[in-house]
Amino acid sequence: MSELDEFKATYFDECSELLIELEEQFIAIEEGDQDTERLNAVFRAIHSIKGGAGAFGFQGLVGFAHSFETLLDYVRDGRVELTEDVITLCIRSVDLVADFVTAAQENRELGADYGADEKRQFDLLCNPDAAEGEEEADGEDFDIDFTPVAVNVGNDEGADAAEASESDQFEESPLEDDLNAALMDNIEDSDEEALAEEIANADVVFDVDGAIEQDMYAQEVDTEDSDVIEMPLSDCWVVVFRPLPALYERANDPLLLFREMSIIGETVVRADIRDIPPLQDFEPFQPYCSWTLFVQGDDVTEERIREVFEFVEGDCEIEITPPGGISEQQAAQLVGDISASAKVVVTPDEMTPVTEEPDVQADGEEVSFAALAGELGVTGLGEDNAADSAEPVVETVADEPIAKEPSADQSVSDSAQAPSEPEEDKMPELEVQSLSDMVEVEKASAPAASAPTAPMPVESDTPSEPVAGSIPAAVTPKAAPSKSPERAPVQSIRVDLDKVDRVVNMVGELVITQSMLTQQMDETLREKYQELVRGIEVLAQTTRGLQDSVMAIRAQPVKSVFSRMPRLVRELASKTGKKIKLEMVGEQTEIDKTVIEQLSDPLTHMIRNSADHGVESIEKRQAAGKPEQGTIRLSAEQAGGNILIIVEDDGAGINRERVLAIAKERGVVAPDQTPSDEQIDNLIFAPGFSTATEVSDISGRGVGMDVVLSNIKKIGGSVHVRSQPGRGTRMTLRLPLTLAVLDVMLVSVAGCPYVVPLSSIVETIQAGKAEFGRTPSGARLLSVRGEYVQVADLATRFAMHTTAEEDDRFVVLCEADGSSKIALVVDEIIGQQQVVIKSLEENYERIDGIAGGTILGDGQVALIVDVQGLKSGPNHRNAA
Amino acid sequence: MEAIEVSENGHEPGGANSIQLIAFSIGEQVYGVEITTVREIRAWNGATPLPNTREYVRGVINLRGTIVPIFDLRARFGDGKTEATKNHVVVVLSVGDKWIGILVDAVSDILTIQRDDIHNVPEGDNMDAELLNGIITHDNRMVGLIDLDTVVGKENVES
Repeated sequence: MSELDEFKATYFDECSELLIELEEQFIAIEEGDQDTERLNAVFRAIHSIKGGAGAFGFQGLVGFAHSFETLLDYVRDGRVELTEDVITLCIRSVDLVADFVTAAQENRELGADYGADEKRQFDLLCNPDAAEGEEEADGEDFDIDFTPVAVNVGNDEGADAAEASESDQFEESPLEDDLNAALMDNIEDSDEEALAEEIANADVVFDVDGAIEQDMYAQEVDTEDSDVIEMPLSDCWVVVFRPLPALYERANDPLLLFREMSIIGETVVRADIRDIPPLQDFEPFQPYCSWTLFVQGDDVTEERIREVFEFVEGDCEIEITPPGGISEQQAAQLVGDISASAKVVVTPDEMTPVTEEPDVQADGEEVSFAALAGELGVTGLGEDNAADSAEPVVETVADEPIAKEPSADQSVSDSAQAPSEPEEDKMPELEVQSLSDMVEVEKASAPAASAPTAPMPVESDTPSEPVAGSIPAAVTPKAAPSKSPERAPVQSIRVDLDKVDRVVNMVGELVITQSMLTQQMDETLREKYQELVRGIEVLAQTTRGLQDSVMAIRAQPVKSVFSRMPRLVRELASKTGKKIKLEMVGEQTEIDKTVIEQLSDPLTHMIRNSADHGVESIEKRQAAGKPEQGTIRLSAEQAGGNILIIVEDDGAGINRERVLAIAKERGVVAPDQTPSDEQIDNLIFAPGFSTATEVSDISGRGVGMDVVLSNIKKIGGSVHVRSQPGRGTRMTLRLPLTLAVLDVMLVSVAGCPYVVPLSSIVETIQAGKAEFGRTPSGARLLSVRGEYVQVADLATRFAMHTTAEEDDRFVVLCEADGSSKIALVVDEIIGQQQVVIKSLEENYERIDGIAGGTILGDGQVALIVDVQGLKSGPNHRNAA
Repeated sequence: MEAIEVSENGHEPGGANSIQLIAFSIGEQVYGVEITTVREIRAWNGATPLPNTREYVRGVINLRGTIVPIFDLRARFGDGKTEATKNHVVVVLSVGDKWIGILVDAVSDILTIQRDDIHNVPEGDNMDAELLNGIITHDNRMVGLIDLDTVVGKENVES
């Protein structure tokens, strides 16, 4: 049960990622980028969501996603035109899917007619004539669709593991499952003939169901069948690839190599499985399978082919023969030789091995050991595909050994010699269409197949079907033109953030310990123990590297926050009737996850502010001679140890007169004061401040910009505004790269170390040179460039006895909250450094004026001064 | 809580009846805490003073990366601040989910006692009754069982 819950949790995680992706893709599509790849991506995402929903029985979600998916498929095919309306419908539907997902997550049921409108629209779009019928068919599907899969996945250990980490295995194409179900039944029948017959029947199921399900399946199946083109072998580079055990021990995956190859040129892969011994002799760690690759393409050179195999050099045997190097006859022989071989077409787009599939009649034989072994391999590949491998046959047989059908065993031994038997010639080739929507399968299979845990030779085996003597040429289905080679899949694991945090903390300790050691090194030690010194230097380097790497683990591109903004802008634009364009730059800039989490609110407020107050209405813009469409530019960049996030608009700029008037009215600024332009600009961050004459429902309630400031302060950042009247406003957020490490100024007061966060320090002044004034209560004020600043002597505030001469002390001028400042008087300024923040409350309690503790290089604890707290602290009037 | 429970009737099943104490001294007086609460014993090596806090908290130390507050037990008992030297001892204890250190003059012994032998603290001075869980006699000397919750607790802050 708990396992299932875990899977569910993973599924929901993935859903939220997919939903974000969907939104991104649709926004790009809306902007006119209607690339096929995008359409495929959205289709995949919806398909994944649907698949998982089916596995967990979220019927509402399945139903909705299914209709949506159908529409997307039609759009992809060009059968439905991607008009603005359709896009809007899609974007709205993504929201609905999100609702369904949330509901499922919270175990709620949305009303039966939730999303029914949209669903009807989908159906209407897809099938203007017979929307009703379509719906019926849908209903049927769901029953058949997913039930068998649950069993299927459950049976397969590998699949279980994969399930936790792979999204795509949730996907399933109803088609295969039906076939599966049919085939699973078959296999129970030990009579081979009957089996063959059954499988033949299964084929019927395939077709029929495909037809019922969605025409496109059937259609594609048909096309593929008739579309088999022979590849002239004499034009091909022939690469014979024989892995050695080492290849698998190093967790290499032939499939990935084949895929690489397929980027170079059109590639047909054949697996040679003749060497696979009978089961009793079978060594799971031996590579029994080798492959022959036929690569065709203008750019193919031996060098490029070698490059592909560069990483496995020495772990395999490779023979490369240039085109024409073998005669047609030889080639034919070569292929013919590989009698019981499997052929796979790999294209960059479609990594699923595609077996050729013929009449399935003789298939009974197919459940031979050779095939089976191949299939076992397929399990390796297929586990992830598991649910979805669009290869019914392969799928099925993969199930077979798992199902532990006696017949399977029997046929294994029976047919162990199958490859050498003459009948093999009669063996049919199996061709399974690589439906274009299989793309997602391949994505899944690629990373999973390379799972280093299974260096099983069989794994390497591609879905194999014994192939008859003739060269069964396989051709990339036209349905999936692969314009851009698929990016190599990013291999990733999901790790609990807590675990990462633990590592981050430990590395923090390590850094401190290391610097402690370094500090212990004095000259005599250095001379005496040179080796030790060198060791410590290496340790220092390694530690730094480790720290960087660990921080990088937590770093995420700001994209995850940025991606929510286009939508916000779109909504704001439609609400305000303005035309606004959002430009985003530097979305890939990486920043600590905790910072990112804190970034969403401030950024939303800032964008709102820009859209509402910054960008003018169309009329005003026209009057000002600006383009109708306003631009908001959101950018992120790294600057030293900081990340700068800039929100810029080309609007009217801050109306300083109004700001000042309001500030005076509200008492934020004294009536006789004349702040500088910059100071006025920054007044918008004062709490409760709003310049909007009318409170709109977007912004203007005066909460917002001060929230921005306080949120950003909380994560140790700062905000800065610059405005040019009539030209626009630029707000700059300066954020620390990470929260785990704080840049501080180390000071001492009465011999005790304190640290002041660097982000709050404005400047430091020697006390002897500072101008102090006194108030009647005895409190001191510091005069800085005509401004009077409250002074807090840390020695008195912290009730400590300092022996330092007053004039030798230092003043650290800090910015406490926005524009208000406080001057801290300390005995000594020691220097700047990075520290790891520690909590005092963990073992003790909160202390006034102290924000926390940290451990210095010498192991001593230093306290972090809470600048904000001191400002508002209780005992202001301690005379120095 | 891991602090010593004084059982009312003194009859608990099994071997639960005997407990071990770490005994330490402050001046002439011996006190004890249950051994299971003790995490570490280390020599006094200074602490970073904490401002604006209770006067009997000597400051905080770095215990392998965690910041641990040190309570001066003598000061806590109202006998003034301990003039701590390297010969003084910090006993690190876990109290609830927190780790704290208590500064004492010396650690003297490990005592095994019977719960039955624990005397109640006589009525009288309020502070004693609060700070001690009970009293036992060992080698004809009185050993006060420290009530850690009260020592550390906030309720009793006096300024």
